[in-house]
Amino acid sequence: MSIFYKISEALVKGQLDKTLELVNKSIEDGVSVNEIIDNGLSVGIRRVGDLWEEGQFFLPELMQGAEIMRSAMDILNPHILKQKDNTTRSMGKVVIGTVAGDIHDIGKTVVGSMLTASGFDVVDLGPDVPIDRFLSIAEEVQADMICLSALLTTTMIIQRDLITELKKRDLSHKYIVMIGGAPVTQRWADEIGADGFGENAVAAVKKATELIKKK
Amino acid sequence: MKRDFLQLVSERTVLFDGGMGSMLIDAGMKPDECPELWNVEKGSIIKDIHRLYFDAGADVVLTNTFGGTEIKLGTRALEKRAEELNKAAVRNARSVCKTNRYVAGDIGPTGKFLSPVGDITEAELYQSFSRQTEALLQEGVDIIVIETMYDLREALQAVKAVRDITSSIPLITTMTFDKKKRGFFTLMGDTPEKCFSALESSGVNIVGANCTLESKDMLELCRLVREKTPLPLSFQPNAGQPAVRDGKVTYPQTPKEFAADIVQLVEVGASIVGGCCGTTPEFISAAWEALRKRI
Repeated sequence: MSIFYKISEALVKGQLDKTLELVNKSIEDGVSVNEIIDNGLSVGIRRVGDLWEEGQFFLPELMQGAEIMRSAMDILNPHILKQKDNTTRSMGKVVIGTVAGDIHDIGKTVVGSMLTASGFDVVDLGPDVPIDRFLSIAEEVQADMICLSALLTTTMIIQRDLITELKKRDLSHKYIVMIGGAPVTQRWADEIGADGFGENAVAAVKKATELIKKK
Repeated sequence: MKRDFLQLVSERTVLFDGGMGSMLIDAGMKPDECPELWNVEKGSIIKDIHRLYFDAGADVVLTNTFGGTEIKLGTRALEKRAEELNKAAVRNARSVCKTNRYVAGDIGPTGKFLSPVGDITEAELYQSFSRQTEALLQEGVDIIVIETMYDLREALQAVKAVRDITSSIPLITTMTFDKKKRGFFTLMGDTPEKCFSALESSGVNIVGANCTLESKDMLELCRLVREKTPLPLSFQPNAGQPAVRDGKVTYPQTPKEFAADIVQLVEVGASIVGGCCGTTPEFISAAWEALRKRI
């Protein structure tokens, strides 16, 4: 059994200590960091996402998987920085939050965790975030993408307002805007001119990956 | 003297009220407002909603305290007012409660998650549920309903909080399930069988399901669990699956369609029926008409 298979299996099974032990051993054995991520951890986290979408896994397994991924990346990041021609492996910088007036947190947190697990650099602003804060933080961290969650039909309007505000400030070209939340549909995304929509956390990560590659 | 509630449930079908949230939105509540605050600031509207449900034929109304734990109120910096808001809610319902009808103290999820999803502890949940229960009991509810629970572990902390204070109050606990390819599961992956068995051994008198599912799926769930638990069953489906039209949430079912499904739920074995999201006094009135012979 290859070390990569063992790493992905441990992650899928939710074994934090075992995954980290295998990652540490791989580093000691001189396995390339990129391979540990691409052939081990990423394979595992994608499998966790698929199992969740299929209804085999549930929220605890999904979050556990994301947490293991994060812990493993904490070990790997210093090594990535040491590689001279590969200073960053980030898929892109994302600012995520739930819009103003909406305190629903969990969906957005799951998407944030899964984006982090998939290699994105995520700034999670929490729930109840005003438009100005989204835009000023996006500017500050030089974000590639803004992700807006809204769980209420009354607050999903703010997703539209943010996109309008971006146009008004002539910033539309700077950021990819993705939206999500229980009442949000592809139709709504099209109507307000959002770049992407995720039906669930796994679909959101796939869409984000697709959009960032096009950017 | 009012008839013992559990006795009533063993004798005939009992009708609960319908949705509160959608009624509040129709009455002008804004998304950034705290529904529990209306117990104090707009008590007359809350009383009117309870009255409409009693008039529609509901045997039981739930207090407007779904988000009345300190933890949930804390997200709006209202945690210090938990006792006051819960007590006012009971007084509102009590004030319009007719003879031989009941007021149930409503306890909903805190919105915070236990590990590995979140970082709240079971002790914190227990304490928050305990305080809410005390306030509800002090003001004199007839029943406690713990509802819309998506994590069995959280539901069990609420049950423990209630049962540590009183062993006598009738206690109903309904979970919310999703229908997946492999069957019905909570968000955390627990099956109805597992949930109901754990709740039964923790001192719950009546178990069931509410929210998320429309009545057709609720019916399937009811058939599935009827033989699995000796406890009476309680079901409150939504008025179909919500859809957004012109920026406003709508539910597809008519009161008549809903009532027809409610009758089927009773036929399959539900002892208590009522409505969740999207249902109004018209739905409960239609259900009452359809169930007349059994009530």
